[in-house]
Amino acid sequence: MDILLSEPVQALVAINVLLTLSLLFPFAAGVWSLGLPGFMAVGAYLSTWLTMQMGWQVGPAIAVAGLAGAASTIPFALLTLRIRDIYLAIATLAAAELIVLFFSHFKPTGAVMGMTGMPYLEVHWLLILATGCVVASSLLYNSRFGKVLVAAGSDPMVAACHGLNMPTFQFASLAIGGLLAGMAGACFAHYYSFISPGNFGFHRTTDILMFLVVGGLTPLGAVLGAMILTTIPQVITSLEKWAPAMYGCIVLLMAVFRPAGLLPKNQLVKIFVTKKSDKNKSRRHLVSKDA
Amino acid sequence: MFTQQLVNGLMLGSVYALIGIGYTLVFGVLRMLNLAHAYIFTSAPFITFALIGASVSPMLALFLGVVGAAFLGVLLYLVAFKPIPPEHALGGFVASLSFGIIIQVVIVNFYGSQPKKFPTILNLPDFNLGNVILSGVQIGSLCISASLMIGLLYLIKSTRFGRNIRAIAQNQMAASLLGVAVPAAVLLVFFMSSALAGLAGLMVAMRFESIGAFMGDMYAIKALAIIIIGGLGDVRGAVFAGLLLGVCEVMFQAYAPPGWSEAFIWLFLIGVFLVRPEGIFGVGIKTREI
Repeated sequence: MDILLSEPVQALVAINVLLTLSLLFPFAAGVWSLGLPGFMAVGAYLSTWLTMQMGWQVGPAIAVAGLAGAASTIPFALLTLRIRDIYLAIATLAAAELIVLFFSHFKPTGAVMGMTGMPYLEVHWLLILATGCVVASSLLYNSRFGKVLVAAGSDPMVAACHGLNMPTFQFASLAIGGLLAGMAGACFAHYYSFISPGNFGFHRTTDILMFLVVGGLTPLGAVLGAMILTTIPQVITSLEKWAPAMYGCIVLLMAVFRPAGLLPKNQLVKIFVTKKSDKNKSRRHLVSKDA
Repeated sequence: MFTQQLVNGLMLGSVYALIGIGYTLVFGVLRMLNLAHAYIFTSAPFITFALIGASVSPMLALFLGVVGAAFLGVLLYLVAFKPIPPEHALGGFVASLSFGIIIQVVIVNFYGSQPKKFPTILNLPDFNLGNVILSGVQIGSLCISASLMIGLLYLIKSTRFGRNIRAIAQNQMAASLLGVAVPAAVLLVFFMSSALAGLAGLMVAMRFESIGAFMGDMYAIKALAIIIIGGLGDVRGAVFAGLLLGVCEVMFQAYAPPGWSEAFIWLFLIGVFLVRPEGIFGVGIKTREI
């Protein structure tokens, strides 16, 4: 178990949790945006520039990187107006590739060689940030806003018929995703003190997507999926070479036997609802008798 | 120089087209992306490589490479598409990706991640036409892919099997009510599409005489661009878009600053989505349908 408490594993888990949450919000709202590596790259490079060239502190730089990640979702949001589902996934993938392509040919950021020498960020700050984001995401997901997102995800037509302005909520879900991805990118830059366009490839999206599918489309599911799949290869080091294949098998089995993920329902809601429903017990009894 | 580049572009484009045809056929019948396609592309040269290592005759090894890839495709359908509940929106996407990753990890663990030398199987002479040099392998694979493309276009347009596939692509429920054996047709589509991917993989391996576990990655996302520009489910479109992108890529690499050839593909892809979502020939699946 010592390996689980080592700093690199904790940092990896914290960053992966942030990234999985950033994919959760658009996906919960039915916006299949795979632009995550692009937002992450924007956050990482901006935070690097702010700390190294402008002499900012790491904290404000990460915050601004998050905002920049959110702002960089605007072109993606415009795509959602015209395209949906799997087609949107492909279009956003292409847009993210364009962002990364820009950085891999942009000389001031070191092109494909990448950049190094960012101020180092202690692991406990990463953990605090990740925990804060998990709590905030759970609260947001359980709020009225979160319920609207889930409604939009399960049936946009019905949600629109109930007077919810779909584009607004889809844009908002993308922006939240961009915010989290931008912060995760900045954390990545400051923890590893090295970034290159290779870090923001397609494989990043697919890994995070697997975490989300295994965990389920809820904040706790996302956190659980990210933690389990990130730590498994670290614990079973003898199987390190086969780790991606193990991921693959787990995802295949999950997709067949538990398609909605480990935590498909919002467990927090469940706890609250069961407590409240004690009061309603008598009424439910009556209803069943009528039927 | 320009003619040479054009020929190189057509060569690359014919590989793209072979990959794209299989990809677009599978999308047509299932409405799901088969992300394992590029990994099946990689598996065929490795099957051939392993068989040649086991002293099977090279021609037989080439044939078995294609057949092996085809059966891998059937296995892919049975494992990663058939058992997934249809209401699982992302199911086919992640399941096929996982299958592909498993193939890749198996290859990496048996052959390492470094590129390997692929043996020269066909010793064909080079042709010199004016100032254009064509290697024998290049001409051979250009001929094979051209005849395959024509054959496939005929198959899709004029045979019973082709009509069945197009019917399934339009409306699976209606097709099955009208007596199309949907499961058999889908299996056959997977068989064909993977055989084509395997063949493309072998052509690339024979051309560059080098294979690596990650050789499919470059083609994986570009194949997406090809099937969308051509129109999802449209075989003619896949052929045309494959050739077009191959030529454009080589031309951009030759005459434009680095990076522009890829940027061109992505911009073209997004542009097609925004302006003409049904693809260049306008008979693919429209993206706005609900």
